[in-house]
Amino acid sequence: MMQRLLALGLCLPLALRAQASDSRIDRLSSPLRDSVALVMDSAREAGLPTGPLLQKALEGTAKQASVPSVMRAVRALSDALRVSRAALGSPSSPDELSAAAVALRMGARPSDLTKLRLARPVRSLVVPLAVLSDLVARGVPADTATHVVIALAGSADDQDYMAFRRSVDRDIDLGVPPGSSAFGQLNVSARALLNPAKKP
Amino acid sequence: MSEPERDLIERVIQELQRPAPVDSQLGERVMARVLLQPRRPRSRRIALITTLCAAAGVAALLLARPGPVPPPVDHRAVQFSLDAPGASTVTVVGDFNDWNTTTTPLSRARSGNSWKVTVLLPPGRYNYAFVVNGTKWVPDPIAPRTTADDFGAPNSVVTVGGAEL
Repeated sequence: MMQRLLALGLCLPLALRAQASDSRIDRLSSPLRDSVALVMDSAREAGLPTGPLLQKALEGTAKQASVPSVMRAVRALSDALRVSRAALGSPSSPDELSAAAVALRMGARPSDLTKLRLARPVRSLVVPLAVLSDLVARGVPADTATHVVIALAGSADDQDYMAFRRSVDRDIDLGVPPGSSAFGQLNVSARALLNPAKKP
Repeated sequence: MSEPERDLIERVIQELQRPAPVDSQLGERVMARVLLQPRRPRSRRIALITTLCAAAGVAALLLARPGPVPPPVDHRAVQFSLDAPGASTVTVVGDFNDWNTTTTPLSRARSGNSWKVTVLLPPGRYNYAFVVNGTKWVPDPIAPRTTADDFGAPNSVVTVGGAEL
């Protein structure tokens, strides 16, 4: 009896908090809420992360987009998550799948994701995928960005990726064309990784 | 007092001082009766109340979160700023505040048209935009933009560093 009461006392707040976090969906209009909930349920059953889907719906609502356009965006993201999982393999983490879905929408191909996974089979792909998306966002062509990120995958650690991105950012701020900067910094990084004493 | 009276008193005193016969097993019997007494339910009530108080305390800590909660150590201060001449309100909206257009207002500098706010964010990659005067969506002019624009109002991207990013 006592244990039950104690368990109830401890679990009830947690349950209420879980309910509170899900209550964000209540900010959606009634027809949108039901449709988004269906997509989220489907994603949950497939083991895909649902947070990015809700965020996309909230973004569309904040921007006063129509229900059909919000649902198009939510379904497109859900599809991207599924493609990401197929390309990266089942053991991928939710963060990896989310980052891969963004990379796909930034222009990476599913085969690029698979190459990245093969080149970096054990370590997390979150940082490389985030750097890939950032490079494209800074103006590096998508095929160039995927090429350099995959080329670094075998030897670079997360800090190397971050240093690479900062170097490209600096070049672009100085006026170097984004694609040229990415290839130039790839050479610099490759030399440094082959000779760790000269790491930038 | 006469001699016979004194003798009588003396005998009474001696009689009273004589040790009374006591059962040698009396102590054991008393202790056995004490041990056979049912335990008073008061101690169980106290334990139950203590447990409920502890559970209520945990619930209050989890739900109420009274007072300012110090940020986790991995959070980073990120400053968002925008020059918005003539604006009456500017807010920043994005993944980090569930796209709520009212929760993160920027403050206008005392002079000029510059608006700023500092937000504590955990490591990650965030989409965001500014909302000027409650209706106009404006991407951050000094940050990279996302290429995927689903709703006709482009977002900017900020990557917050940490153990991974």
